[in-house]
Amino acid sequence: MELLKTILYILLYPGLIYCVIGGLILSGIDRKLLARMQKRIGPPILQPFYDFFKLLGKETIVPRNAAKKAFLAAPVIGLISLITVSLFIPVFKFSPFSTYADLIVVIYLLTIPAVALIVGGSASGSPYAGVGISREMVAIISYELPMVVSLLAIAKKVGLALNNGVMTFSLAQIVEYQAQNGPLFTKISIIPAFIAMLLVIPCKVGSLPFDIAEAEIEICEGPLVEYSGAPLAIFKLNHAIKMLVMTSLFVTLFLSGAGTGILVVDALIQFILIIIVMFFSITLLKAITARLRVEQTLKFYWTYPTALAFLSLILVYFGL
Amino acid sequence: MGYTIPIGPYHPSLEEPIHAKLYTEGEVIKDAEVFIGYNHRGIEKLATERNFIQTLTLVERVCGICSHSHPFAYAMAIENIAQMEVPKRGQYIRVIMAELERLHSHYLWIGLACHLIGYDSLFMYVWDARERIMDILEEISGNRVNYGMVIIGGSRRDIDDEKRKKILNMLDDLIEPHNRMKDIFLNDKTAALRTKGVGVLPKDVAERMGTIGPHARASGVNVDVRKDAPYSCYDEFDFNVPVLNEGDVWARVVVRVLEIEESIKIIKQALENLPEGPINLGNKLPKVPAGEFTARHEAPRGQVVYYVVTDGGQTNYRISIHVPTFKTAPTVPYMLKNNTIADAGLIIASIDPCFSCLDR
Repeated sequence: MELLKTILYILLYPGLIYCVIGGLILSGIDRKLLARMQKRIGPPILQPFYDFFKLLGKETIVPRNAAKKAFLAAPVIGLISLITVSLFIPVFKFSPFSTYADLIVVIYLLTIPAVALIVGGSASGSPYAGVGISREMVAIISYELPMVVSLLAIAKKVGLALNNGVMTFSLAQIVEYQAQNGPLFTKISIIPAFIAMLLVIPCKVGSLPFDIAEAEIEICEGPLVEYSGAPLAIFKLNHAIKMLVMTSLFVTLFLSGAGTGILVVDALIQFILIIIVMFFSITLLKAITARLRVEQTLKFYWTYPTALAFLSLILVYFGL
Repeated sequence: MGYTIPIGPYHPSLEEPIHAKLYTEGEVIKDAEVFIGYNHRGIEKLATERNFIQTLTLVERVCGICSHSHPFAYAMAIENIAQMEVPKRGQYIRVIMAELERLHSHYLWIGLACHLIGYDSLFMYVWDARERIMDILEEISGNRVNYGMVIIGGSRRDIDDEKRKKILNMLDDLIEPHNRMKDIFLNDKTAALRTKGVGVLPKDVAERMGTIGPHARASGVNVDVRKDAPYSCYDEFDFNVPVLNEGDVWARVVVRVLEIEESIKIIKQALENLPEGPINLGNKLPKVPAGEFTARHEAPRGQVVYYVVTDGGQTNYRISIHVPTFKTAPTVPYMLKNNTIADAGLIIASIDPCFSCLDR
């Protein structure tokens, strides 16, 4: 029975099926909202599904000078790691795979899709991919620092209350803290980290103005330039799921609480919160900015979000 | 580590085929070469086998965007060889069309520049404004792209009083989207980050390379055929030629924004003072003696030159078309140097290239 439940979790709810459907619907909503803000009608909400299944049916072409195995494995590795992250993120108090330090696992696993993009791009042997890879690396360097520091601030804040002052890296405990004391974004010391994480999301999911690695009109989608057919479909799916997972992690970290205890209702509330977070961090930003250059991205992330994250950490140590 | 990165002939940031080779170190472009000639259609040769009215249709198809400038310049050349006096009303209508074309061409390019820096919302707003211009063009000529408004000796279609008022109203409606677009572009931080100081062309280099049109005017070179050598009836209108000194992509956008305002001024003056009288000298095949003439017209992208030779027969002996992109394209390798790959597409596009004109 336990085994069956575990398999259901992996395949159905926070796992595969939910990730695919939720991610694609989320990106459909994103496209529709963006279109409305740009005075366009926009595609139907289900358009990402049509795109995905159409791409699955297309011919897969592997370039002659590509490293075939790495080229084909990269998108799948990215997909698997993203689905694994989704398993670890609690939906309010529902956390089937909760462990002592799942936050650290999440941080590591969230980097793997970007690494998969780098591996796939370098395996394809195209100069555009070469430029895209170097940009993706700079992007990782830019956003990891503010992200990790703001996570540390949260870990310390929760640890002070629940773990005798030792940092806690358990997502279940972070949710527990919010169930007792209200959502974390209402705490003064966490507000800077809240803003920093909100700014990290667009770069992490690679959307405007930080979609430097895949800038289609500058370097023809960079690492994806040689991909076609099913691997490309999976990379596009990765992109959608990354959006879902990042916003979902954000909701769990800052907007969580006790919930209602009924899984279906909790999941729905979670998804609505995800859409709201996505609107402010991804869609709205996409509509009002131009794409930044690589060095501008690095400069941006190492100034404002990093400063905010450190400010948050210091405030937490002062006990605010 | 050095890469050689090809931009074009097929590339998402290019609407038409050109090939640029970028020699890069990391993200920085150290050197660049530009290759042209992917779009040759042999129009100059074809023109020698057609009569003068057929040639109008042909040269209208040199370019999809300046499809009024080319027949305008060609008709001026033939009229001068044949010593024809074009009626004032016909000339006014030609000028109105030419300025409307400048509006829609400039809006098109500004929108494209926004798209190239990844600012798709502004791109949509700009093209919304452009769509109103297209409506006006359709109102006058019945067409959105190839207007067919020029015949030898005048204009083909008249603008009656009802249309005149309607167009003036439509121009007033344009002010609001235009000002909003201008406001966003001038005040947006990310747009400035991507365009200021990018692809700089200093004044002395611009003069040495002989560049023309808005591209030169953004680098501080004051050249405009409409002012320097007034033709048709341009000397009867009151307008300025905006010149900026920055020489970067930002200045190129702003110069065009300002030019749009000047063009609206010209169109309003022309519509309000539209003279009475015939619009052309009758739609018949003109008798053209042997002779030659060089006609110049300020197209949206710069000066278009038509050198036409006739031998007294029914066809052109030779026509030679000089287009603005041929003058602006040589500046591209200079502008690309020491910029990043991220800006390459934008810099190539910043000359407002028209490769169908360029290769003919």
